[in-house]
Amino acid sequence: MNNSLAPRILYPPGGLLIWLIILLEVITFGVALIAFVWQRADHLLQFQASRDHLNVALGTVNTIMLLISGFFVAGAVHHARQGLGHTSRQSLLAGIGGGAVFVFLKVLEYQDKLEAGLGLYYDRFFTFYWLLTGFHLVHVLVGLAILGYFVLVRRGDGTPQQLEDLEAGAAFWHMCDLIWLLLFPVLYLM
Amino acid sequence: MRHLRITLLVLILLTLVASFMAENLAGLGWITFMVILGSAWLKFLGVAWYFMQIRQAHRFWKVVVPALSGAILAGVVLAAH
Repeated sequence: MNNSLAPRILYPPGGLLIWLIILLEVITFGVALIAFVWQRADHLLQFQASRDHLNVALGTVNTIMLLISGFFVAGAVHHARQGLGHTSRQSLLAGIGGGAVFVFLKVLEYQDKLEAGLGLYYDRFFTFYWLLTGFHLVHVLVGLAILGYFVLVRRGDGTPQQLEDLEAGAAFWHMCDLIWLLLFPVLYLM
Repeated sequence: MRHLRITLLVLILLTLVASFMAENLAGLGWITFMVILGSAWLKFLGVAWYFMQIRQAHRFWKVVVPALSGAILAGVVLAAH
């Protein structure tokens, strides 16, 4: 619960703990991406050839789906702040829908790669691809579970504590977006 | 909600521009590379500022978020050399 006498620095949207988690996760994925690019510079032809196996259009659609999902989750927090519990829950459901589409498309992409024999040990590029996108997918699944919790369990009594919890859950979901916004251009577009 | 809609449209536009340039203007070399990374940074900030409401947070977070994301992308640029 916020203490009005405590410095505002300790109360970013969603709370300090979730933001510490977000920063750590972004740093972790960021370091991995830098390592990927470093390896790419040493094995440029191999990485470029492997990158051509990725479907940029599918990745673009997936990026847009996550952004749309994030829009709805942000909208859910906005509506909750205004005391519109029902509208907030509908927005959360739409956000979950967007996330579910992302997962579905990612599974299709994985299936395609596996059928083509482009597994974890195929080459350096795909080792990075599977690890980075795989860990990101795990975060997306956890995020969907969190959003689902707010839809199904925390049905909204409109208390400040509940709003704070919702903001924290939404922040986790947006973190999935932030990480993907770094992953997608480096893996798919470079 | 209006600012959220505008943010979403800009984010989608930046995504489409980056993808288009990667697929069709790869021959521009470093220009395309920097547009792609610049677009990624702007999208990162857009999500943080408007979806995550960092714009209403303490100045500390308004500095840390752009600095951290900028540092990561700077690291990508340096590693690419």
